[in-house]
Amino acid sequence: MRRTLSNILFCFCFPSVFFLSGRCLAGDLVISSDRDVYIAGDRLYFSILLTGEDESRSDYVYLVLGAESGNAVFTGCLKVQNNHAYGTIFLNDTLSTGIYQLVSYTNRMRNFSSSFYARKTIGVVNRFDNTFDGLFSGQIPEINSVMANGPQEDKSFLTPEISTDKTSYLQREKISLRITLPAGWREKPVSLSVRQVAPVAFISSPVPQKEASTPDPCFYFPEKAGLVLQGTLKDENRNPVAGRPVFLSCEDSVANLQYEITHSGGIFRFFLNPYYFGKTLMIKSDNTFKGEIEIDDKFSSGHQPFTSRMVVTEGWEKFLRKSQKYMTIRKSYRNDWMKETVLPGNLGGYRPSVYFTTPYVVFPSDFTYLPDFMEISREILPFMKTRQRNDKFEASVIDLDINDYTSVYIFVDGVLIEGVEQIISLDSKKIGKIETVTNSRFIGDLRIPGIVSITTPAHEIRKLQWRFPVVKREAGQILNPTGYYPPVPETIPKSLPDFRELLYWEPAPDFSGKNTLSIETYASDCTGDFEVLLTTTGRNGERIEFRKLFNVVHP
Amino acid sequence: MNKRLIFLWIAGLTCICANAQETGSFPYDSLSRDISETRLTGDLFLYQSSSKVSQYFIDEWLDGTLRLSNHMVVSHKKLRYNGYLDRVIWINGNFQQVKLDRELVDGFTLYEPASSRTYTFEKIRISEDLKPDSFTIYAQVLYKGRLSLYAWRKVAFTGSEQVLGTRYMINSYEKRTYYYFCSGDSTSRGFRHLNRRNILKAFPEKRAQLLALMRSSKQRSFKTEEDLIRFTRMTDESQIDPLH
Repeated sequence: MRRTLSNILFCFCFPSVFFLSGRCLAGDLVISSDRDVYIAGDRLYFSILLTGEDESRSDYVYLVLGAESGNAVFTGCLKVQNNHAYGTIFLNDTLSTGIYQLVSYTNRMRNFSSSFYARKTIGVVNRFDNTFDGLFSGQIPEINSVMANGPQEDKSFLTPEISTDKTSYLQREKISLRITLPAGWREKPVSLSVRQVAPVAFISSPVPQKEASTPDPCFYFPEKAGLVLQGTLKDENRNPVAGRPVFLSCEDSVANLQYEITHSGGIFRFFLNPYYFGKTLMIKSDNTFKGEIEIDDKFSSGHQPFTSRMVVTEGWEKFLRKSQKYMTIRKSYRNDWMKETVLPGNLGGYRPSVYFTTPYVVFPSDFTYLPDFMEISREILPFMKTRQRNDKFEASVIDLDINDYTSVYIFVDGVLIEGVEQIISLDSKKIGKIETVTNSRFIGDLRIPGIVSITTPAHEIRKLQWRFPVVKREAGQILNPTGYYPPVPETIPKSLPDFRELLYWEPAPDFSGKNTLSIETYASDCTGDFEVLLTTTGRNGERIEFRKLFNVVHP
Repeated sequence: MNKRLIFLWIAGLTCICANAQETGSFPYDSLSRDISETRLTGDLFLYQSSSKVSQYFIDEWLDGTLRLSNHMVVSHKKLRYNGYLDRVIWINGNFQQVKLDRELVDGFTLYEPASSRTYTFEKIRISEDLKPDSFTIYAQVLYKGRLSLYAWRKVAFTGSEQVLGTRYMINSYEKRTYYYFCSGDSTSRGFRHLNRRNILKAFPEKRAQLLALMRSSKQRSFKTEEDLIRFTRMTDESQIDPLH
């Protein structure tokens, strides 16, 4: 009986364990970088692979480079193409020596514990740092004869064969390498790197697997074809306000508007299609709302304090000092071999216009100078009426469908403003064009009685004073895919130095349709131990690294 | 034995429940679809005039799908096509009728449950005599291929008359269908009455070839839209490009 009961209990628990494991639900990411140790002022190349196959995964990934203290050094967003996202981060010259972590995740993954985020620990050394204390947190470096470099080669399953045509090369000599995947190989390649061997390794403490970050597993939506801007409306007592309208528009020459009614918990979400990327968004509620508009920071969960330990082998100090010198030489000769693939800025983007055409367009420059908007509306806007009552200004336009004056939504440089009071000081010289819509317009269920849209040559929207809360936020700029394309050394005169520690970087090795990949690259003027590093996914979505060593010597 | 059966039954049931919960609790696809759905825009539509002939292609509000100029598709909207305005009318969540922007809607499909028929309309560019510029219309797709056949379900205003003994005016409308052949970017001249002469007039450069095709296929009379669709299919399959 006891056995049966335990069996039943197991049955009930088993699906729950599976359900809460979150891995299959969180969406799997694997991240890799071109090297493990960098000198500040250098470029870090990274590759992110989405291994999840389900249709509900996101098409955008977030990337944070954070210090051990939790401070973010870099944040960015990338579009996933063919399951891959890759690019580069410029490590600022002023970056202090220390251990950093690259963290990547999707918006949907934020519903779950941050322990599911993809992480890669790296070391950064300042070019002018002589002590390297930041790498060891002031403690004595731990010298280990066995490399324990994070994810280890797992010999328990199939291993790709990496071969080079030689084991020792001369400086600037051609290197031919070949990677053969074994039959039945199912893992996905993340990146391929040929680089100088760094005699260091990082041992990071695992991020505690907490409960899901939000009680609602659908709080953060997957982002497809665009980003999601999420926020909360709170009243003066910081209580969430439900059922309130929230408007979003951005600076443009055409009036544009999205609106949303807050859900329970005061939550609102806007879909930002690529049209918005790089634009300044203005988010506001109606003209009676006096609380606070909180916009969700997508990067906040990406930079949290972490603990990591660096283990070194003999010669680590010499390696770092040499790297600093190489970096100085590369800086002096301005060697930067990155090539950016510029994505079409607003590919798939569309403007949510409030209206498409209107026959009533007025250019104030066609008329005599008028000192303020009151005069402008009186003299040259036949369908608009602006009145002053008790030191307040009110505007209305004629609705030709009902032949009566009606309230008006005023847009300045594409952005919905609070009212005519904000623009009353604008004279004829500050206004380029005024368009009037004299009938009711609908955006979904929202009725807009009348519209006046003002375009200004000097971005007057940026100078307006607001009475009610308005949040200005830059819509994320999507990072372009960037690759590493060093020149063929034969084309570099021998008098010029070529101290590349990274000989080759392929963020998305293409094995499609074949199990062999042949690559040719060249050694640089750097000598010492080098390695070919193939990073792939593991059976459980973890990062696995396969290496092949060779060395480069003086002729 | 019984205990084992109960154990297996509970195991199976629990797994099914868990799986159902997993997919049921995470409707990511529908949520992201909902949030990214384009909001329809248009002008308030006030239907004022009364007439004997309806301005609509089908009077009933039909469930419809809209194909938008931003390549998005919006489904399950209550729509009517107004042939007089050549605009799609949508009834929104507040039960107000909205004339959808022509710039926004590239095409639409109406589903008529009574007849289980679907009517697909696309925006095509045509030119008319005495009009200097070409313009776009919503035309019903009758046949889609390399050579396509469209029907413009136009409702024309024919005049207005006073109701005897009252001050009310009643507008008169007439439903007129014009047919257009399209191939690539080219659109033939429209014709209204279905007969062989009008069809051949639409393709002045390929008249002889089409005449031969009509003879060989024994398609001599064109009295119904079905005849015209059959002829278009035949021409499309014969590899004749009558518009080029």
